[in-house]
Order: sequence, then C-alpha cells, then structure tokens
Amino acid sequence: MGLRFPSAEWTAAFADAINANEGYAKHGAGWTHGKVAYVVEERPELGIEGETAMILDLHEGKCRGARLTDAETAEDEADFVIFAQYERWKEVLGGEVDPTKAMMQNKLKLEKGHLPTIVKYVLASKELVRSAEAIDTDFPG
Amino acid sequence: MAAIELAPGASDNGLAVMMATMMTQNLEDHPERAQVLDRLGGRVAIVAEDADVALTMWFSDRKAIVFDGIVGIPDVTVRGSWEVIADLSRMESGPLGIPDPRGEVNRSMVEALRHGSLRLYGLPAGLPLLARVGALLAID
Repeated sequence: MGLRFPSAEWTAAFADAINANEGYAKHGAGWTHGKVAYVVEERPELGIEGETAMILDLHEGKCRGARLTDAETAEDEADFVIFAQYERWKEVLGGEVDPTKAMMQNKLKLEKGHLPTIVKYVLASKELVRSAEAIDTDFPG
Repeated sequence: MAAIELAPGASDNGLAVMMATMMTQNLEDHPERAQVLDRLGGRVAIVAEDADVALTMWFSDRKAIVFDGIVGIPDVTVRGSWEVIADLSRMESGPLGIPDPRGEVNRSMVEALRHGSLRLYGLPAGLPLLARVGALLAID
C-alpha cells in the first residue's frame, strides 16, 4: 500500500525523492530563491480537511526540508505558493500533465511569487514534480 | 491605472494570467522597459494549440490589455505547441537586444520554426512589434 497524498509521510517521501533526483540537482542548482509551497484545495469527502500545504525548503538543487501544514502558514512562510484542486495535483504529480502546461490551462495557479523566476527555472519545476513519480502514492478518490 | 491589465473574463485563462504577470513583474524589475511599452501599438495573438488556450495582447496608449482568445484582427499571431510558447520568455538576447543565435533556447526556436511546431503570421511587417513584445516578456 502506498503513501496517502497529501500527508506528512508523503511530504517526507517527496523530499527524499527530490534529493534522489539527479535531474533536479542539475536544473535546480542555481535556485536560491526560497521556499516553494504546493497548496491543495480542501476536499473533506476525501479526508482533506481545510486547505493543505506542503512547504519545500529548496536550495541549490536540494530539498533541505519539507513539511505538511495549512495554506495560511504556507502563505506566510513560502516565497512561492502554487494552488490547485486535488484532481489537478493528482494529474501533475502523477506525471499525466506538465506543470507549465497546467499553469497555462489555469489548473495550477501561482498565488504568490515571482513568475519570471519560475519561468527561468522551468526545467527545475518539471524535475521537481517528476520526483513525485518515484513515490508509491495512494491518491484517494 | 495599471500599465498591464487583464480584460474581463481573462482571469480564467492561465496563459493570459501568466503573460500579464510576466509583463507586470518584468516592468517592476526593469523600469526602463516602460519605454518599450510606451512605443508599442497593435495586437499580438498567441495560441498554444495543444493546450487549447489562446490570448490577445492589445498594446495602445502606453498600456497593454490581455484578452482571453483571439480578439480583433491581430497584427502578429504566434501559434505553436505549449512547450515552444513557454520558451518565448526564455529566449536569449544578444548585445544589441536582438536574439542571440548561439542561445540554446533560440536554437530550439529555430528548429521549431523549421519543423512547424512554431509558426509566425504577420511578418515581416509585424517584426518590430514582435521584437518589442519579446523584450517586454524576456526574463533576462
């Protein structure tokens, strides 16, 4: 049985997967722009109570730490906040949709942060979400 | 009034939001680019064909309005795959502000033009307009 998304266990596994991803190490090597948060819209029927956030402390191609928290904390602490419905995260983290394409289609929304920096690191963003494919994930619903 | 605006209804178009945000934040980072915006006039449409999303940027009176879909008759239309469209802002500029042919992204753009995954309409008349819009969107 896989790790449930989103959860503290999945978030910790995501940090490990990022650190094991050589592609992210390469394309994110220049990243010194702060923490990135992925926020999942609340879905009580799937056990997602309140807007849930994963804050990733990214620095120079590595993830120095990751934790599960709420959207308000993410807004305060993270330099970049990306919001999406649960189904959209399932598509992106499951490798079905590229994150940049999802942003063009308004499936992912940059709620906080400097878009030119995100665009500059578009390959790193791609590798970041690709890291999740290494996790045995249990997507509810 | 803001120099860059989203037209009513455009806030649900992710590409339109991205382009408006890119121009706004680039102008904050590089205030000198306001001179480029001041000289712009015309409409540029962008179509990301495999993402089913399109927008029109209307430049007039020292401001830009970004619309959902094709609005009016564009002076220049850029059509291509979403990956090529995403790279438009990453094109490398040379010393004179024109695209550097040695740049990795620029070379991939030339390949995309050659293979048809990027198509430009309205050239050569629209080349100055396209070059200035490129300067507004460039991340470097």
